[in-house]
Amino acid sequence: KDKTNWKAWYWGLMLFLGVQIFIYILITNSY
Amino acid sequence: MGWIDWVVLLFTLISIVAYGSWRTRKNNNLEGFLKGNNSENWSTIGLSIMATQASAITFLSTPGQAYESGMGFIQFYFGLPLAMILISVFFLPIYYRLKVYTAYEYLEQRFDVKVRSFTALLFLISRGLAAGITIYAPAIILSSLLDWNLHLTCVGIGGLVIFYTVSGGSRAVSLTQKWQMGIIMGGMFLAFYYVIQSFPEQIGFSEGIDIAGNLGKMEIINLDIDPGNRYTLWSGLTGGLFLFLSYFGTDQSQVQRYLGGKTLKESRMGLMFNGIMKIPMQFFILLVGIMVYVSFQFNKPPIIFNQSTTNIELQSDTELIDIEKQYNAVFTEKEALLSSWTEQNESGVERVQTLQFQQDSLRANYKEVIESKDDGYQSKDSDYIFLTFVLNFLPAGLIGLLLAVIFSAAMSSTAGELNALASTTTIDFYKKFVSKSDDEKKDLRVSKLLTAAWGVLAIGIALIAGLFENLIQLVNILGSLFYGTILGVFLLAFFFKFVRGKAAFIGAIIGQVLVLTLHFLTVVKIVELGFLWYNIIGSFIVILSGVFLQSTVFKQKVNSNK
Repeated sequence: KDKTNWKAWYWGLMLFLGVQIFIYILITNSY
Repeated sequence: MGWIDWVVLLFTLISIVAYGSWRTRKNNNLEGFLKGNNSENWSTIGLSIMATQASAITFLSTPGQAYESGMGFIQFYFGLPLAMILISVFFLPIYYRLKVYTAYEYLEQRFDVKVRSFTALLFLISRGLAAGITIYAPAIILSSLLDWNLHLTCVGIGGLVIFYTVSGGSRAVSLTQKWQMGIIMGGMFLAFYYVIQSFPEQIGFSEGIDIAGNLGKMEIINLDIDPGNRYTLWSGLTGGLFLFLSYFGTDQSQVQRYLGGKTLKESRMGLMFNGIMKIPMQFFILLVGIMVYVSFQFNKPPIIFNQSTTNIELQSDTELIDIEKQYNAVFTEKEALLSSWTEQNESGVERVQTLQFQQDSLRANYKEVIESKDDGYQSKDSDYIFLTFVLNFLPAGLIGLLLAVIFSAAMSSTAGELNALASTTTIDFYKKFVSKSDDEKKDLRVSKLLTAAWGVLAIGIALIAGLFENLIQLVNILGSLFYGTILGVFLLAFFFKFVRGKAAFIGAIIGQVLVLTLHFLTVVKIVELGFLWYNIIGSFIVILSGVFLQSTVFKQKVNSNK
């Protein structure tokens, strides 16, 4: 019965990682 | 450390232990003891995974690391989300379909009993020793800063853990870890609040970040491609991926946490939870360290944080007194400049940077002088920084809570380790080679006895660790020496379906011998390799030699079986 869209979870998780790295690069470059 | 702190600390620890034991008092079968009868939901699994990974040293070292070298350590965790996905896709479904108790059990079904026993043995050696250091590492810091007895502290941490892991097994470990994570995060948030409170009135959080950034502490991302540089974006995404794939995918102390899920879906969600929460959590812990650094720009930090570990009379040595005088003068001038700091008025920023550089050099110089007069002195004092701050700046009651955080973290990791060591010994060795009967009562008794035995061994290692500095280094390196081999065997099992047991076993031996040789060459300084590389090289060698042997030496045997 597992109807979870796992692909969406996996892509979402990698997108979240990308967003974090992007923000960290912005912070690093501001000093 | 007043009476109120003792009350908070002891009340917290005793209620967690009592809760874990009470909730699992009716458990009377082996499956319940080792897998919690498959009753955990995703939030328990996710918190349990995080609590097992985060040991006391995570909360003592990480802020200290940020204090010393900034936020760059966060890059180490960038490989973790992808590792969670790969484990969800490839590892979990197989573990669930075969209903295994341990990861190594699967290897017998896929290869043969030799491969299973070899990998399980590597796990028992490295994790069994590491459990001792999980106890020793916080105990040595607590005992030297609080003047506690080191041996009693080790026995205290170990004894509390043995109590509820023996009585309640895997389920008690998960249930207590949930509460321990709550105390840990609550305590760290309160600590963060009080660090900001310790700033002067005109300096707030954003000025604090600004000061830290101007002093070079906010370099989160390093794009350097030099492989010798330990924390870069690339080393995190590659080395971190392999390390976390080994740790979460093949180390029983983690595998056991998600094998107890109700369904495959709950376990997967638990892994996703870890993949989402881990980096923000580590970022926050590092940020606490950065804020402590800013606070110590206005509140004079001790010139070294581990004064209590040297036997030299620091206040009567003229050379040291002289350095400390210069240090005080530099600090006073810098503090005066920073007190008029606002984000619009960053006057004198270059002078502040110069003074900070001088302050760091004087600190290093001071350590060198002590080292020259005291052979036993360890100059690395970053693990002592956060606790020094807590003991000096937090109000009564909260000191007890932060000590409960340290204890909870030590206990949650140790509990996960002991529980996994006992289940691997029971399933992969005792029930395989010693007693094959299905007397469940007896198996449960043996499993409990083994939990206690591993616990006593861990305490024993913690008690002698202080005597052999090399032992601690050995234990820390042992995990990365074996991980490559274990991961290589699992990757062969999942992705190279034509490889059989014999080729895999010999491949594993070749990989292990080669990694040990590489390590020997590194120790005698013939080659230079970071420990993250052992893992990558080890697993590649196992895969290459396994595939090569299967397609050459053992090729005939496969055909003749058909």
